Amino acid sequence: MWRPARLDQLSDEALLAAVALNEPDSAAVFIRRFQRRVYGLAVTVTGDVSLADDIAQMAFERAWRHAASYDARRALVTTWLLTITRNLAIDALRVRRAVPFDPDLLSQLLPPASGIDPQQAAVDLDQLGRLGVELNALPIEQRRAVLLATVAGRTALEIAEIEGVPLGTAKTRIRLGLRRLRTAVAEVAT
Amino acid sequence: MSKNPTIGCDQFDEQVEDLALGHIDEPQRSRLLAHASVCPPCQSLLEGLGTVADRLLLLAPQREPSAGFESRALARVDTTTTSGTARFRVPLWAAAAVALIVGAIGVTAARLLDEPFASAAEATAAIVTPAGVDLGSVQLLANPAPHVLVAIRAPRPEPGQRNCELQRFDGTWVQVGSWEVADIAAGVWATGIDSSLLSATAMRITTQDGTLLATASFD
Repeated sequence: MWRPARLDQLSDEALLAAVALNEPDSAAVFIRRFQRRVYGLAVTVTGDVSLADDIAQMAFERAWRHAASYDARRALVTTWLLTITRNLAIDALRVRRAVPFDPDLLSQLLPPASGIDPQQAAVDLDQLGRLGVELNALPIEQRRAVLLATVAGRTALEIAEIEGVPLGTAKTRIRLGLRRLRTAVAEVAT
Repeated sequence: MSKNPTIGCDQFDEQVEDLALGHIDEPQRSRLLAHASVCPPCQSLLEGLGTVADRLLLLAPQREPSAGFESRALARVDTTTTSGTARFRVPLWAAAAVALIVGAIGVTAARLLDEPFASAAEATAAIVTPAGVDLGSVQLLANPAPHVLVAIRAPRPEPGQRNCELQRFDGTWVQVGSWEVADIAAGVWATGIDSSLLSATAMRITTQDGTLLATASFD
């Protein structure tokens, strides 16, 4: 049975569409829904709660500006927004010439598979849980390289400098780690 | 794996991680994507690595921001709005035409209301009036159940029923739903559809008497 919608009951995509339309209160509902994710990622990448607060605000401002260009075929709303957040955090760190992100710390903070909320994650629980398990099963150097490349958005060259290894070694670590995780995700999907 | 005049599978394989992570600049990025578009195994590899990179972002820990964050973020958005960059409103010169359409829209799909979800669109298209005014967009989505999602940026609506129809591949039109002013709540409208309509080729919006107000082509 059809009934009128409330903003906080909309799907992520529908809510973002409402934001794009400047519907009253949509921006507030959007911020409320995603602020813990956005701020959490900003803190993770920067290690600075004050800077992270500013980056999270900038991320929502940028999302609001570009909501109309969001393409659901290319990414979930959550990952689209987190990618914006990560890139802003990286830019801010580059300006400060700082590298506070510690991939080992992130590994420790990863929730156990049973602790992941599939609705909040907006993806299949098994797939996300398996990804977390496989990530923690990677050799430490691969796990660090993968997290630096994905969550922290570092290039292979930057990872080589951070880890003190040749560029080829950094690339190999990223390659082996990502492909192993890809296999794990694909196995869950089939 | 298939052939490509500029990029081969070996070269693609060497750079696919950087491509998936967004670390390849143009024009090499376009060359690699062109290869993927004609090589299913390489496309699959790229998509798989991209999925992993996206999912890892979701594993990052969540954290409550300090008190007042929502207000601070909203103030930032409001500042942008009042600085003259509110870009989603239809120009006044188009308002007369737009008013014939939905105006604003309502979300009516029960599934949308009951369970927040995210999904990838099967097809997306721009909605335009017969005069060529861009009104918004329409998406056909498969998850969690097949539905059509209409988003129109328009002034407040004129009263009256608006019908949404989808065109099958064979050219026949199927009415999938309708809305009125009373349904309008959040600027978007959606309704469940038969899964066969996920491959629809076009959408149109009409009035109750059959007047064509807007169309969208999924081609």
